[in-house]
This record gives sequence, structure tokens and C-alpha cells, in this order.
Amino acid sequence: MSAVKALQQWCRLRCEGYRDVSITNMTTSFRDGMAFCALIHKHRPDLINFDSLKKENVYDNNKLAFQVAEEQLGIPALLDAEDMVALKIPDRLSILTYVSQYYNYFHGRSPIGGMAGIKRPADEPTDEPAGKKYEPVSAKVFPSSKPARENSPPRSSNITKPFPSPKQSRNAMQNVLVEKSNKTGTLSNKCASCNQHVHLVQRQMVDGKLYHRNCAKSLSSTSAPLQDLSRNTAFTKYTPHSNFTKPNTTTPTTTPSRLEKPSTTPSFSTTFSPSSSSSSSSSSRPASSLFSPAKEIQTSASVSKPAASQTTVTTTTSVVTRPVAAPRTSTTAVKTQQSKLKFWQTDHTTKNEDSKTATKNADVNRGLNVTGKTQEATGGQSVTVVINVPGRKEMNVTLDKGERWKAGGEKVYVKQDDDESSKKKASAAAFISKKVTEENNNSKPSWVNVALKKTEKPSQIETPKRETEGVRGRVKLKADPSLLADFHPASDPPSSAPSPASRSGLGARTPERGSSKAGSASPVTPAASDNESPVDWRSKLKPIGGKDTKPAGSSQSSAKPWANGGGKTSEPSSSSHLSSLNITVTPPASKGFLNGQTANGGKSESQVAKVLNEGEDETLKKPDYIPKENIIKELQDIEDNLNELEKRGVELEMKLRSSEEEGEDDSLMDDLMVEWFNLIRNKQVAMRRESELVYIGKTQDLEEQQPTVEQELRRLMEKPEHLKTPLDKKKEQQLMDKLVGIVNDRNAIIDGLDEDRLREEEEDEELNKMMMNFNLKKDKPKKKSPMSKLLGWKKDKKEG
Amino acid sequence: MAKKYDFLFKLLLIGDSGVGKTCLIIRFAEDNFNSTYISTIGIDFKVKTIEVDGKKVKLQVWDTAGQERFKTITTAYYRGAMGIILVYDITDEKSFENIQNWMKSIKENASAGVSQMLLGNKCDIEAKRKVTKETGEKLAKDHGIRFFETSAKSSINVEESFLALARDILQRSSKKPGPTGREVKITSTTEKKSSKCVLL
Repeated sequence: MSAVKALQQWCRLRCEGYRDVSITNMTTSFRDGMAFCALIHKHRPDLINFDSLKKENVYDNNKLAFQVAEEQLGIPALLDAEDMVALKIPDRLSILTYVSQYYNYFHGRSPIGGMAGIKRPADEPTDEPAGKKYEPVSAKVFPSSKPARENSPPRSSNITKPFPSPKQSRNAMQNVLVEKSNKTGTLSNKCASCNQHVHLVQRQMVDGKLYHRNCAKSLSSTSAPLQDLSRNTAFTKYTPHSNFTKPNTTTPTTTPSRLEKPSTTPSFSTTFSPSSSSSSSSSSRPASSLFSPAKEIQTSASVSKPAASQTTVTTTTSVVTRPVAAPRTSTTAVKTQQSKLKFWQTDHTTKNEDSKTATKNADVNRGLNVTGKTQEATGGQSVTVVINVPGRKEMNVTLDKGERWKAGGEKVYVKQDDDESSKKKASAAAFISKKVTEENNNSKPSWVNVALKKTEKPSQIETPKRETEGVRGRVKLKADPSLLADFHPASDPPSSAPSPASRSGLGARTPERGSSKAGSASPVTPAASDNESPVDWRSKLKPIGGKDTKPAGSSQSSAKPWANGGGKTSEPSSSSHLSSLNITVTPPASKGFLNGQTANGGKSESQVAKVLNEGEDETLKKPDYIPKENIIKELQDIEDNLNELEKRGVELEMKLRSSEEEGEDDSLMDDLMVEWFNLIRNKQVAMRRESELVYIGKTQDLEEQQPTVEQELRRLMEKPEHLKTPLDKKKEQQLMDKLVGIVNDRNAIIDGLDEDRLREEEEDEELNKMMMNFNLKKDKPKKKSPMSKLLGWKKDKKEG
Repeated sequence: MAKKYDFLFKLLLIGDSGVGKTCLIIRFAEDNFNSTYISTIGIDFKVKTIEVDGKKVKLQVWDTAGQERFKTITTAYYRGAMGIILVYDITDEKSFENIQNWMKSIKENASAGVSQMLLGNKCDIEAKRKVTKETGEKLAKDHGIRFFETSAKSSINVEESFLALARDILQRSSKKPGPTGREVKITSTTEKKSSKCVLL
């Protein structure tokens, strides 16, 4: 019996006894949706009232099944209810694939791929509906991020929900899509975002609309539940763009036309969309975050927007395009984006030792230098220079380098710089900018901050960064125009700086303050810095000794990770010594206030900054702590892997379809089918890990936030009750809520991971069984058993 | 990795303020100790994966503020706990007397079958002992729960006690067909696992 037959058989048995359901094939038998509902009802009678269903309601039945499966079981809706109505004979492969997910789920009771993985629930309504290509949206969105401390709460809520609350996500998505005709999404094979054909492997339904997985990602990245993480992911996605070329290349066979269209290309669009949204957002965001407090954001956004908007669309294309086809990227905007990307790359590249990279770097550096000179205004120019440099796997490069920390930090910086410089580096910045904004707003250590901090902590470098952070925070708070002005120039310079050292990013900001320090220190320090910061913590935790140097005193006080915040808050001097000291030392001129503030310790933000640093330390201590850079890298790897799988999946699908058309017999098909199922499976595994990483990153983020909040709360609580103003009390309550929220979010992640784990266990089992069944039921001995093929395939995957 | 474990157990520590709940957890989860007292605010938790009878058990250990003012916050977390650890300070008689109140609180707030354990902490400070070991043992025995005297500072019985409680929960859960207790192993499973490892 073939795999397909086996699946059909399973369906038939499961649906036995259900009114109006009779499975005789894998197409029309499912068309009215009754079979799907029956399958669900069979296993989860609580989810569907089968008796109320009517065979005639094709759309409603399907819609119900898809929705319930997705929201309650975590089975991604590969199918679209409207398709089921529109097509007299539904696509067999689609049905097969979709039903196989039911099988995987019910047979072992596991939804495929973990909740977060397959679909990134677009939970956060609050956050920006990612405005693809429409910068205005993103721009508006950012502003929404609230002033400093209030931000966190929204996050937490988002986090907690593993499943996107349908309504929320819908809203978010709709916002995004508003501009696009909704219909496109529903029509069978077109991506709602990029309007390109979506192959089965790439399918992802978001609120009833079909997307390429990558397109959906971009969408959700903005609005994803795990904002930070999502950001990170998005972050990662930058690279993807460059990498994406591969998919494009593959796709061409199917749809050559796509390539020529800039935005349309499926792979592009997917990849890009993130970039586009991010870029647009980044351009606007960075500005907003850095320069303007919430209020001002709009202005900044508006300013940056023009550039950003143009850039965004083109950019995406351009980036992608280069590798594949140059035609698309004519626009300056594209160039700008490229330049941004290159910027990134440059940093990465600089680090890389590869000959390629080296050459690239050289080019890049030049470009950078040029850009630096030209600075913001000349985005286009810089681009041209940069263009020569092939923008490739930035991520990889960074990864390759031994110094992940640094690399990550650098990247971050770069991005931030970009943000600051606003227009040029918009794309890279998008995520960062978000993070930054959040950071600023929340005072939480975002990835960026973390990275910065890490680098910063060690020696001088640290100071500049902190200053920057502090500055930002203040900026937001105070919204000093002057500061903003300062920053702009500062931000721009970084571009020039990059060439010397990857850390140029640091330098970039620093320049104003103590540019020399940043630049010089950064190159050398990175390693040292990494070591140091962790060291401190370790020293605290365990008697590692050695590197405590400064922190020694503080370390003791902070010994308790949770308590750290508190102790420090109370005595800013002890724990904060390090940070404060550093800050004071470095921050020569402009950032006087930062220093001053930090020194004073009176201001919450300064404390926050310190706390953040501490937070980093804590994280460092933990053995299972995964540096964000590593997470980002791994996410990138997964992304690459997924893209690879999708590419292969597209090929497979075509083969399957063609052999189906040619009427080849099932046994031949079966091999393909097995590979197909296997590929789907591998994709799931990758997505699981992806979601896990997102969880981990989020957790780490939360763990870094916690001490900050706690510290502030302690400070408030120490105040004698009778001296507390109503405002104090209110604030105290808010902080308490926030703290509990953070803990709850962390807990939700633990629970979410556990649910995933349980599902996955079952899923594994079921898949094994299924494969075994195929194997056993094969009549003909083939050259290779499907099993061995599976294994072979997997091995390939592993090696890949 | 985050999902590389067989069981997830949630433990909760309660007891008067200052008895050393947080220190116990830090000792357990991070093998560290800090004598500076910093009262816990509200609620927090730490995670540590240990091995119990060959199974990897991920323990999520909840730390609660002992102070009365946080009571409303902390009691909300009783229900999710699979194991509750009552802690008193052997140098503080009041904290021992209050164990009764904490037990009452468990009855009111925790789920019925929750595993419990009594710990008399700070057993390194023998000179200041106010509660004899026998007294503690008796109380535990009366309630049919485990008892240890521990010292987070000197690292006495900390890991042992957590392990014992985890084992209790494990044995309890393995009697029922838990969702985790699946057995099927096929040749390909290993293969799959390994591939997963790579991915993970």
C-alpha cells in the first residue's frame, strides 16, 4: 500500500460512521469540509459540533475545520476554505499534505511543528502591524511604543499567549493588509503579500490569507508575539535576503517572470517583506527611537519616511536581486538599502577571514568610507560604491568568527548605527530599531543593548555604549532636540568608522563622546570584554576569581541573581560601580548628562542602564545561556535550512504533480511521496527549533529585564509608607504588576516549551509509525526502502 | 536544550520571610550562596534540570516572598505546583510555628494531591538552634511528608532534598499514565533523535 493509500485508509477509518462523510479519494471527498470536521470531531469532539454541520456549507465547514485545527490544535492551515469552494476538485497534494498533518497530530496527538513554530501568531496588536512596504504604517506603529517603562506590559501579554488570539492577530494582519486587496490572499496560490505563486511547502495561512512562509514571517515579525525574539528573527532575516537568492534561483524555473519583478518574486517578497517592513520601519524607527521620545517619533518618522518608503520596496528587491538578476535594482532606494546591508556585511565581513569576505570587505570598507564621508545625504552614492561588494551571508560570516559575542555586538551596533544614521541602513535597523525603541522605552535590555553592553562592559568601550543607551533613554524621556542633532552626526560617522574595525558601530555612536575610545578599544576589547562581563558574574556565582577586578565588591552584593537588582538599587554605588565608573570615565563631552545621571543614580534610567549591565552579567553566568548572537545565528541557519527545504519542496512538488499528471503508478510516486512527507517533517523539526530558540531568546530577554524592574521596585518600596506620594504608590503597583508579568511570561515560555515537547514526542512517534507502515506495506522491494531514503535524507540534512 | 528533558515538575517554596527560601533555590539551581539578605519581591523562579532515576527532570522551582504583603500574589501560584516545600529556620522558633499556617495555606490554595516536604534550614548554625531536629521530624511525620534539615550556606542536604521530592513526584506521576510516559521505540527513533539533536 502506498503512503497515500495508507493515509487515505486512515482517514476512511477515522471518518467511519460520520454522516455525509465518505473517503474514497484524497480530493473531492474532502471538498465539502465534512471530512476535516469529522477527523477533528473524532478526536476532539469538544471542538466541533458535528451534528450542526451541513454538507452544503462548503465554505463554512472548511473554514471551521481549518480554523479550529489551527487555533486549537496548532495545525497550520495549509488550505483555504475559499479554494475548497472554488475548486470542484481540490488539489490532491494539498489535501494530502494537510491531512498528513491531521494524521501526525491525532495519531500521536501532536500538532506538527509546535505552536509557535509553524505559524508565528501575530499576537501583538499593539505592536506594529508590520507595514509591508508601507512605511507610514510602521512609522505610526513605532510611536505607539510607549514611553519608557510602560512598554513592557504589552510584551508580556503577548508572550503569554502561545496561540495568537485570533482577533488580535486578525487585526494586526488586517492592518497590514488593508492596503492590499484581501482577495489576492484567498485566491488559491497567490501570496497575499507578494502576489506570487506559493508552493505547498511554502504555504502559510495567516488569518485566512495565504502567504509564503517567509512573507508571513515578515508580517508576523513585526507583530509577532515574542516581540524581542521576533525581532531577532527578523533581524536574522536580514541576512536571509542576501541568502535568498538561492530560493529565487530555484524558483525561476517555475516562475521565471517573478525574478524580473522586483517585489513580486516569491522568495524575494518573502524575505524581503520582512526587510521591507523592517527597513521602512527601521528608517523611521531608528530615528524615532533614538532621537525622539514617543511624541517626537512621528516627526522623525515622517522625515525619514520618504527615504525609507522608497527604499523599502526597492531595497528588498535590490538585495535579493543582485545575486540573481540585476535588472530590478535600478532605484536609488534599492541602492540605499544595499548600502545598508553592505554596511552590515562590512562589519561582519571585516571580521571574516575568508578571502571572499576580505575582498568584499575591502570593497565594503571603501564604500563605507565613502558613505561615511557623504554620510546620510548620499545614501545613493555610498550605495554605488558598496554595490560592488556582494552582500552575502552576513550572518554566516559573523558566525564563523570565533567571537560571536563581538560579532553579534558589532552587528547590533551596526544596525543601531544604521538606525541612527536612519536612512541608509534602514533595513538592518528595522529590527534593531524596534528593539532599540523598546529598550529605550522599556528600559529593558534588548538584544541590542545586551550586545552593546557586553562589549561595553569591558573597559572603555563599554562606556560609550552605555552612554548611548542612556542618552537614548533620556532622549526619549526628555526628547532633547540637541541630543538628537548630535546623534545624527554621530550615527552617520559610524559608517565611515566601520572600515577600521567591525566595531565601528560603537565608534559611530561614540564619536561624539569619545569616538577614539570606542574605535580603538572596540577592536581589541571585544574578546576581552566578553570575557570580562561574564567573568564578573561568574565570579559572583562561583569562585572563579581571576577577572573580577573591578566588580569584586559589587559581585558579592549582587551574588544573588534575583536579588541583584535590589541590592544594587539600594546601593547604587556597589554594584553599579563598574558601569557607572566606566561611564563616567569615557563619556567626555556631550553625554555629560548621562554620566551625571548615572553618577547621581537618582534617575531611574541610569539605574536601569546599570541594571541592564548587571542583567547581562547574570545571563552570562548561566550555563545554558545562549548569547543572542548565537541565537540569531542559529535562527539564521534554520532559516537557511528552511529555505533549502522549501526549495527542495518546490522541486518535489513539481515532480509529484508532473508524475501525477502522467499517471505514473503509485509505487513510483510513493518514493516521492515519502520524501515529500519527510521533507515536511524536517521542516517541522526546523521550525520547532526555531520556535524554541525564540522562546529561549525571549526568556533571556525577560531575565535581563527582571532585575531592572525589581531594582526600581525595591527603591520605591524602601521609601517609608507615609512618605509615599500617590504617584509613588501607583508607580509601585505598576512595577509590581510588571514584575509579576515578567515572571509570568517566563513561566508561560516554560509551559509553552513543555507543551511543544510533549507534542513533538508524540509527533515523532507517529511519524515513525507512519514511515514504518509505508515500509512494511511495500510490496516491491525497491532499490532503497523509503526508510533508508529517509535516513539518507536526514543525514544529508544533518550535514547540511 | 530547552526541550531536552523527560519531565517538567513545578516546585514551590513557602515559609516565613528570611528563612532562606531564596538561598536554598540559588544553592540548588546555581550552587551558589550569598549571605546578604535581600527579601524576595513577589514571586520568581529558577529552573534546573536534574536526573532522577535515569530520567531527566526539569525542575521549575518557584520562590515566593515570605512577607505578608505579598501573600495575595504568591498564593496564586500554589495551584500550579506539583511539589511544595515548606521551609523554616531552625534558629527561629516563630518560623517553625508558622509552618502550621503555611500548611493551612496549602490546603486552601494548592491542588489536592500536591507533594510536600518540610525543610529546616540554616542547620549550619547549630549554636543558635531553637528548633530541635526531632521537633521538625515529628511535625513532618504527623503530616506524612518528607523532612530534611538543610543549609544553603554549607550546602547540606539541599540537592538531596530537592531530588527526593522530585523522585516522589516522579513516582507518583509514573503510576498514572502521564502524557510523558510513552514508550514506543522504533529503530528510526534513534535516527530521528539524532537528527533532532543536530538541529537542536
